[in-house]
Amino acid sequence: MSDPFSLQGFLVALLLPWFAGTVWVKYLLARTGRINWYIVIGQGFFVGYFATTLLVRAWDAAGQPLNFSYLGTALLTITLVGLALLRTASFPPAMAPEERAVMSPLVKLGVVVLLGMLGWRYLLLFEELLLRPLYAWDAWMNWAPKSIVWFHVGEITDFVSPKRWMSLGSLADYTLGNGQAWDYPISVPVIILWNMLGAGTWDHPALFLPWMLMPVCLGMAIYGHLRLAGVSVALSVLACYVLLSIPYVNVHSVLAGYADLWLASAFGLGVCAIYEFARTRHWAYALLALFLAGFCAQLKVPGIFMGLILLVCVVRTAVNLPARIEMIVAAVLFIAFVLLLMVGISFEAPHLGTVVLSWEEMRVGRVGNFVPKYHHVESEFFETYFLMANWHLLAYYFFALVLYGLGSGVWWRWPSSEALAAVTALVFVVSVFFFTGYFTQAKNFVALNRALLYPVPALIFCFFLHFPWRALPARTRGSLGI
Amino acid sequence: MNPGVKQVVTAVVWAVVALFFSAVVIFCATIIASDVPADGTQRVVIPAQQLEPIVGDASMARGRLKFSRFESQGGQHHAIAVWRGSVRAADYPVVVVDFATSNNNLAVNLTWKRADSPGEIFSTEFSRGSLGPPAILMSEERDWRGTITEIGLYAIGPVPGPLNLGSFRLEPGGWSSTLRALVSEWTAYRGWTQRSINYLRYFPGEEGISPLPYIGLWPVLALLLMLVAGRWLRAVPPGPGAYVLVLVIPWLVIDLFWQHELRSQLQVTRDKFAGKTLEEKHQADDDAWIYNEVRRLRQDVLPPPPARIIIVSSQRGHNYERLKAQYYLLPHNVYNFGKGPRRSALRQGDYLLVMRGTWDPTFSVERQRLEWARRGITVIAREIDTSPLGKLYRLIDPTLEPLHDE
Repeated sequence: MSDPFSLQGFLVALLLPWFAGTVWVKYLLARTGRINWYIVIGQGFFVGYFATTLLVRAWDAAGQPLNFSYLGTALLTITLVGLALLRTASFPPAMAPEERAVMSPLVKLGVVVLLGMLGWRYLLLFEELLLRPLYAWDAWMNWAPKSIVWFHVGEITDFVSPKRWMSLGSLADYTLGNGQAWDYPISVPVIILWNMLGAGTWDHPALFLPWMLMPVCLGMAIYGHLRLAGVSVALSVLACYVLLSIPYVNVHSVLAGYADLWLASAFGLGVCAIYEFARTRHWAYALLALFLAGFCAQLKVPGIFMGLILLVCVVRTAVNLPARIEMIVAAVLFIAFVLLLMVGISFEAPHLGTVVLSWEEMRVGRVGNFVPKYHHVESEFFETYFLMANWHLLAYYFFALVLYGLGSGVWWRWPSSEALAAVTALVFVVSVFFFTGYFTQAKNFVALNRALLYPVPALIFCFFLHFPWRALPARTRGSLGI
Repeated sequence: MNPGVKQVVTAVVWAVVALFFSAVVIFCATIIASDVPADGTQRVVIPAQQLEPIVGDASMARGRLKFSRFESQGGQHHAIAVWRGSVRAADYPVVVVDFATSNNNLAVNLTWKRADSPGEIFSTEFSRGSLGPPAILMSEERDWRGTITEIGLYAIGPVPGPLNLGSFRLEPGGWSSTLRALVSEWTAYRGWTQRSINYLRYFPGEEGISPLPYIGLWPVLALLLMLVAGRWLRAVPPGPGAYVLVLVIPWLVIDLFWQHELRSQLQVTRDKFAGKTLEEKHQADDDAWIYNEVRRLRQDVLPPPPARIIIVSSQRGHNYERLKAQYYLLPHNVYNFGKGPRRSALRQGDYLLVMRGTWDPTFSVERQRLEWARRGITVIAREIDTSPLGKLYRLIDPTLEPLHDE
């Protein structure tokens, strides 16, 4: 039922956005003097793919038919412009990595073992993805159908609600089998569409290879950011291993087609950018964080809130109030929010629709109505974190080390912006299940883990960044490779 | 020795010793807490010679019952061998069956009958890919109670054999047999399901005992042991590296279990899809029959896309068949939601795919009308195709009849 697969076109579709993103991330961040190739390549993948979706959407909005040759040429042109700018610009030298004692052979062996485990893991997953036709439910129900329609009609047509489909009656108006999916943000369908255009077919497992490259690039970027922050090679590799060995991360990579891992990655890398912005006070990292916030908002509806968290934390970092004043401001804002809830407010928010906030009801137009009420989903949270195979020992270690960090006093301080962003995201996700009608999605475990995935890369980054081992003498850390 | 190397060696030794003693403590605690077999209860071994093949043909070969022929019925191939006797279920909470098959598509089940319900057959499926012979913790099975009068092995699959049986072992309670059953369960192949994208478990199915609390307790106890022992052995303290290793090693162990599952899954995927063209992969896939039916409709019945197609199904919500049919029908313009659209949304020339098992609407051949009894809608239509997927109609004119809108 499908057209022949063009390997050449597909490889261009797969790699050109990555290359374009790498060039422009290098151009953007090199001026800060705080950069390394892991960050450039890792962040470049996500920046490049988001930029490509924007290019495709702008092209379509301009009334041009979706032709891969033209689109590819446009993207290539953008890349070449970036390369030209790179060649002609002069940037400060990149910061040299912090000097430390040489790793012992045993620690080096440990690093090799961890990297070997990851390599073995991802080779298995890579083969699994390439062998199996599209499998995961929402991928063929919600995300890929839009891409298939657009691929065939040659433009990004609007999808409508089932109710509106009934009144319109036109062949050009499509709807989906899931009542809400017509209105989901379209970055993921556009990514799939881009690969379809390159490959010349709508049906092939390889179209979902970006889902395999995603965790690899996420790991590279997190490694690069940790190394830039002065975390040792061994601990940075350990952080990547912890993140990329999580079974639930692997599943969202190999059973490709969902938007959740994209959102978790974009948010996590936005948090990394916020850390560098706080460190350097350079607008380049703020711009990167904002770009990734925009990507979050264009991936999933919850991503709008994740993007808002990044935006607020970028603003907080930029304003950089002293801790005491910030405490006062936060308290005033909180009291004002509570008062507004008592009074009740209603306003129109971009992308979200009508927002109504009061004690009796919360309504976010695009998301739904919520009556704030406590729902007992503690047992589901306990089961998913402490009994299921989703997260390995992440929850055990997280809670134990949080207790240690608080007990040792290391974490009793006003939060940094990246930590605040990561923790706020976790609190947001947990609150949705405890206090809104989405508790049913926790009861049946359908959406619980997908949502819990969103803050995980950010939390792991913050963990390895701020863990008390940084307080050890450099020589001790050096010899142990930490 | 170089001081740095000495620090690392110290850390490794501390971590390994602490984890070892932690494992011993957990193991001993588990033994103490586990069920003790009833006095005098011994293991029951049922050799292959005592098994009777009641479906399919089998004969003894080198002490094993080897099936040479399966019975074919309903598109599936079946083989059953049973032992008849009398044992108390409570005395034998673990059953181990020594069987072997290279056919990954064969589902192998343990079956049993009870004295208090002689006409009823109970069953539970064996997990595959476990380390060691498959063992089932029958104490977790609700229907394993009372007096068991028959125990059997039931194999069923789209392709027959090969299959041979060694013995059945009924194990009395106790830590050894319980641990064997748990390890069998935890290392069994689970495989991808449509739930895997939502959550993962350590055992096939939805019920079972998770190993995670034991593995989570392991490093915690090891850390405590190190903290305590570290105060005594001040001359050789554990150091921060030891604490890191104590956290990393259990993670590596449980990651190896996951790697084992992924390898098993990849083998199944290779068997199913490797070396095939995309079309052949679709033929081998679980939804092949939907893919084939839709492809036939698209090639032989429907006009070139897009056409308006309305899928009607009595199955509400996210039903696999109706949604997969919609996916394969793209880029036809498909409405596939709820009970179908309002009458006013129907257009002349629309196609209606009434999925199998859907009894409203019905088609009146005499009147050439498609009739929704519950909604009081009647439209003129022609039946243009019938298949295992359902019946396809074309609306001639939805407006001619006096109609009752919803």
